[in-house]
Amino acid sequence: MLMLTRRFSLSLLALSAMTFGVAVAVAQSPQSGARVESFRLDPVHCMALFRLHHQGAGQFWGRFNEVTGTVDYPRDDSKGPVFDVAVAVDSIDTGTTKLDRTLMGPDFFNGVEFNSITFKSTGAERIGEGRWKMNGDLTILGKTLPVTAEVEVTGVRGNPVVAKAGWEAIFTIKRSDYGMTWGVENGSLGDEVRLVVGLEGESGPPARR
Amino acid sequence: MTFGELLLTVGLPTLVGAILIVPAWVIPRIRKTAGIAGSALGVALGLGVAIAFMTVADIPSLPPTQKWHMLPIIACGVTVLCPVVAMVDGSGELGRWLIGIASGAIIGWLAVFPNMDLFMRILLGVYVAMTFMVLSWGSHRRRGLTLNLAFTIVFTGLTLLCMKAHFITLTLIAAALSSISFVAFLSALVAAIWTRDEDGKKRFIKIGWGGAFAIAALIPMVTFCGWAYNTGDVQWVHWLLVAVAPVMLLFGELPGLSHNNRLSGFVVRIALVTAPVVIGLTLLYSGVGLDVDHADDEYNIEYFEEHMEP
Repeated sequence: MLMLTRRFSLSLLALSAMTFGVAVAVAQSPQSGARVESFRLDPVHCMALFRLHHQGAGQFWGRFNEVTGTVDYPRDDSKGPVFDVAVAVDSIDTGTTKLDRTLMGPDFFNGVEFNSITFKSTGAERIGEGRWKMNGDLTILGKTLPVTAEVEVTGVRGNPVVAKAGWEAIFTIKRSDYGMTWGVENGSLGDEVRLVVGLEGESGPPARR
Repeated sequence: MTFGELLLTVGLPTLVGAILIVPAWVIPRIRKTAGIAGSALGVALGLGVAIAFMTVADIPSLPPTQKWHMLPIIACGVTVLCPVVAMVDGSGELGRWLIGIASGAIIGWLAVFPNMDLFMRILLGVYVAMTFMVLSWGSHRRRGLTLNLAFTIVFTGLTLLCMKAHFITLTLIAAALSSISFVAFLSALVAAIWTRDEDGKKRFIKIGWGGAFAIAALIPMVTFCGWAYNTGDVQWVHWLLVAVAPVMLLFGELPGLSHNNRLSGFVVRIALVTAPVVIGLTLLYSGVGLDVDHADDEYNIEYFEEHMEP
């Protein structure tokens, strides 16, 4: 009798484990949409725009053309995206070569010494459908500080194997916090910099180039 | 940058430099005190770098957050050591060699800018030591007039190179150094023409080992810093031509020239220093040897090939 009870208990345990395993597998399958996928950022369709006040008058815009990294994100938006993004400083583009070179110089982004700007997520809080308040660490000029960005999921499209997804992050930083102080004190260049980062990533096996 | 900002960044170090140099070189009672005349230029230049840097980029932290922030820190060290070097001025060849080697070793060790491997650091150290040996020797043979005008020309050349290298703060620092050197030249001129020592003799100001020490530290450091952070079209040959100019003073001491203390001798020595500076700047500003437009085209082609898909 005791032997039978033990066998029954073991069978029940094995069945429960199997059921749990299947449930987890189903939950993580592409069809359910809840699996967190890793999206590789597509440098062609990603960019980081920055805006700052010039001479107390106009708002000046510039951009970085090379944005790389990954975004971990479930297609059904059940969890917040996790960003690991790097921006190449030497890809700065203001439309004027001379200004690009000055901004790449040690008075501003110091591209010779710090060749990238990075952002790594540390947490996310849902603020609406496809909208997240994203906390992360932003590193500029080798100095890492926490920032909060508002992120909008701009779209997800694909099939169960491959998908593309897009995000747009908007946030404001004070450049002097990172040691980029040129023109702040005399007001020739604003301290607050508004950043708009447009990202597009692709999940699934890497496409052949 | 407005005129007011320029006045603050270049004018303030110049004013401080003038406050230090003019009394030390022009007032007979002060300048006869041992070490004061010999350290005035060095202290003024070292402080000039620190002040110019701080008016633009705040007080540097220790350790510095960016490698080029070592520049004002080392300049402060130069300011402190200058009076010591000035006090041992004339202590003999051994002292001169020791100061030269020690200053080269310390600056080569501390001034580590990007892309500077061991070879470049040794080169910087040797350059500092060599410049000190030439200038400390020259400081006893030549008047402050010749040397300070030569330094003004070299720092002006460096200012123009830094501007082309898109390094704003270093441009302003070099401009401040040029301006202080010019004040020193004027002070030496006034001292030589209009002032007399208490015994009624004319006094030709010498920059002394203190001044030579500061110049030997600052010209190589500004040059290497500008070269390391260059994001413009300035090539190593431009930096070399301008930075090597003070060493050209050696040729002014060749037989036939060394005893010429007239105006013609002064003009020849200044011309020797000016020649490489002018050649370097002419090459840069005329674009000889630079293929700027083609370089930009190449960049654009590469960029589009890499990133633009149909």
